Amino acid sequence: MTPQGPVLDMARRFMGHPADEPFSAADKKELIQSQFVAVFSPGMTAAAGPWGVSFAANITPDDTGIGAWTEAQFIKAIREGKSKGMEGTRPILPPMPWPSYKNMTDEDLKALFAYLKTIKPINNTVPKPQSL
Amino acid sequence: MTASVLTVGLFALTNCNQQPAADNQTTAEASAPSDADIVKRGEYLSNILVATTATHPKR
Repeated sequence: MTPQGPVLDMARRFMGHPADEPFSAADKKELIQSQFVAVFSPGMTAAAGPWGVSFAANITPDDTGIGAWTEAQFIKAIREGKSKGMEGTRPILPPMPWPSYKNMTDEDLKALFAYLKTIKPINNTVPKPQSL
Repeated sequence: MTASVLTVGLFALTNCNQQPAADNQTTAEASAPSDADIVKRGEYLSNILVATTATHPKR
């Protein structure tokens, strides 16, 4: 940790919230309801807020990430805020600002997906969201 | 002399307007981004998606 907050670790970029770093809702509920809009983990990959507890997703091309995703799934996830870009799934939770990206062009979203498919796969099963 | 100059001039003009088919095809191919270009664009765009997914304290 630095005075400016956590330093980016590019070797772990896009891996999502580390599976071995616990972050529970148990001690956050009162904070959220009384004082703060959100509480983040030290690495800023987990957040507790009115929505519950959410974790940054693994978007590397590992099987625990987006390895099995199609381009269409990626576009649907960003455009419609659907988890894993599939019908009938839960919404993508805050603080992922998908509404800010939903108007990106097909060309840009396809380029993003193409890039993400080239980065180093990282095995990391991100915890499931929790309710407060 | 005048006829020769005219002939050369006409030849030059007509050849200026003729583009080999290969040039047009090359132009079309050149305007389409390569796979590498697409990935590079994606890398640039990924910087705006950093959000909370890239912030991990160094261990």
